[in-house]
Amino acid sequence: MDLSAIVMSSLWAALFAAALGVIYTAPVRYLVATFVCGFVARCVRDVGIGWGLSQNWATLVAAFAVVVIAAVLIRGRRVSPVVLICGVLPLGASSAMFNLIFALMQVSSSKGEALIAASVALSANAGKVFTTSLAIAGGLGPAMAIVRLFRREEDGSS
Amino acid sequence: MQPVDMALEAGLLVMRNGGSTVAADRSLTNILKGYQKEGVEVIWRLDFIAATYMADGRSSTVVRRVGPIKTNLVRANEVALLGERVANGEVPIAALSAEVKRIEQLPAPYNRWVVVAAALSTAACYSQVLGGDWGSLGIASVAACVGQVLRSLLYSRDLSVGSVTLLCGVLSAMIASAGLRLGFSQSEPATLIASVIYLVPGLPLINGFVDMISQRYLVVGVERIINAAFVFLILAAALALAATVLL
Repeated sequence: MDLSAIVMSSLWAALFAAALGVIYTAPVRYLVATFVCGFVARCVRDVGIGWGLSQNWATLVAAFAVVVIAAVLIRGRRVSPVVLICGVLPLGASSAMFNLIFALMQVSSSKGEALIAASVALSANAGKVFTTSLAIAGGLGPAMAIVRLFRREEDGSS
Repeated sequence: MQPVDMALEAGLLVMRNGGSTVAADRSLTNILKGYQKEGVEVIWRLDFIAATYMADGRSSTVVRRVGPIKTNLVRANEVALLGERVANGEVPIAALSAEVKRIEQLPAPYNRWVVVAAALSTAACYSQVLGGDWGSLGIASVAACVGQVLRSLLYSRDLSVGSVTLLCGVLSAMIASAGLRLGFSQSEPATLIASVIYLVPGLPLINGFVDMISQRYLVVGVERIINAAFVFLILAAALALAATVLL
């Protein structure tokens, strides 16, 4: 596992998340949280893969970590969705999504060997988009439920 | 203004500024709670919101058009906070209308050039996230920067999201393809995808998922995800066009 490479890619992901926060008009006070969440997301995923987890399981763990970190960083009742969006997008299947659409376009116009190659690319990328999205949702959903539960208990005890 | 109208106004403000339906409904419910108004049933769609309630023993329904959805999460966030303060009795009902009007007037938190710099940064960073080389970083930055300038100009002319995305996507992808053709980088996919990443509809996509996961706004969630898929399709078409013409 190359730690310096993981730190570098995590830094790029963090900067990407913060810049995306600006594009999505996130309030200024959330930008630090988006930066940290972007870093954590990529770092956890890469470390997970380095430890032998499959890409999907590593993505699921990373999405879970993003919600926990966002909940720690943002005080208040709710975790802002924009922080989560910017945090998990570096994990997303954007490249696979584009490749999927390219393959879809090629399938309609290809013949013979090219058609077979395009069909394989189409199903492979469709699977990648589906499993990555599912992994992200699978990490975000339980983590948000747990955070909500803790917050409710805090509200109840205060 | 009637309590239900006021609450609908707040919910609409969240929807029109890029908030999720969950957030919009929570704000609406909080404001109704502040008015101590119960028994209001609300139907949420991406194009309209309808609220039904009993008044003087008769059922009344108020329908409001959502209209074009833009992005200003500061406003959406302010409405959510206002809703919580109203529910807790921290904001008098008499001041609510003025507060909603104040939030409506809030400007975007970042000016045009800050957003252009952010688009440049997203493209640069994403090219590296995808494993591109330094040439890829440079090409994607320039492409996204020019595309975002065009995007802000087109949005100020009230063009639809689809046409703005197509025009900006084609321009950015053309610049990226030209840079690749001139040999500034060997990382084709990283450069091309990063050059249009600032146009990716992340907000509708995640709001759609949030709405669907909540299970109460399935229709709105599906509408949002289809909208996002349509934008993805436009971006892919823009990339394919540029790659076919220039590469």
